[in-house]
Amino acid sequence: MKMRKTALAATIFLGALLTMAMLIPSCHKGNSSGGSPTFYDSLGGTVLVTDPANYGQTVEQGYLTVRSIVDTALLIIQTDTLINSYFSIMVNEDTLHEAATEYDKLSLNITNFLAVAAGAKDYSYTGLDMFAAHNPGSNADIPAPVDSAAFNEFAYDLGISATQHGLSNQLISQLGNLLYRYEGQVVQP
Amino acid sequence: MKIVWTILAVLGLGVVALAAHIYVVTHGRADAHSRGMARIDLHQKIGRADANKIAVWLSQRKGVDHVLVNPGTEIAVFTYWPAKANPGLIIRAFRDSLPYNRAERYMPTAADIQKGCPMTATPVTNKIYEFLKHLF
Repeated sequence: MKMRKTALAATIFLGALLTMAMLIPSCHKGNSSGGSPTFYDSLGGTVLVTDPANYGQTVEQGYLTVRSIVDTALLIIQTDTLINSYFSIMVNEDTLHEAATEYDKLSLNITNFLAVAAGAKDYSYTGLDMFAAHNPGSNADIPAPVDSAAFNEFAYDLGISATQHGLSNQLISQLGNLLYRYEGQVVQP
Repeated sequence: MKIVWTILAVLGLGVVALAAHIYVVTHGRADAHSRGMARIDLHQKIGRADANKIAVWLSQRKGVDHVLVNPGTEIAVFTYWPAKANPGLIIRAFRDSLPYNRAERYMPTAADIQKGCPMTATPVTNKIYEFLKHLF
């Protein structure tokens, strides 16, 4: 009888641990890419390089490429009066500096989303899916639908940034294809 | 009875682990690597030479990371390390040092923020994070 109770307790313990593991989204999962080359591989893939933004740490070259493009694009977007109203939160200052800045959060979210969409396996995106994120009915942070012109401008600014970071026309075309896979989810009637 | 205590203990440990994770994730980025962005609306016509001059001046300020000046929209933006730079002081010095006295720092209103990019929003599970974040 005691053995059965112990086994039951152990089962519950393991079940609880598994549940917790599922509830806590991983920020960086250890894994390696396999199979046919992905867009992420074309951007540098899983090769570890020194992270220029975090002294003493390494980062996958593919992720670093995506992050560099996104960070420059966020600067371009903020000076672009056609769409900067969507991103005004980026220049909001938290003078207490106790939490990540809005710029940090946006950079991280967009980078993770694009890296995973490009084929990264060792990073995860835990935000809303693109349809839910841009649906005023389900997301109070987006009071009005994003129109096609704004989406095109976002893609254009990202392309400008990719050009500045030396991506070939072929890779920029692939980036465009990746972005426009989500156009139907972002631009909603 | 022993099983109940075991379950409660496991759940308690889980909550502590979750709280620790949330604390690290939500507070860990406000360090030397954390960056903010500030924007200056110039409110006057500038050319490429002006844009270059502004970019150089801003780049030379301590704690400034990247700078971009768009002469077409008359906007300058820069990223900075909050641990090293005070964007308000930089922009005040900018107005005092360069001939752009109509320049002003753009700060979004509550209404502007409401229209913000939805990519900062999080799914249902992360709503729990947001709730717990306020507790710590």
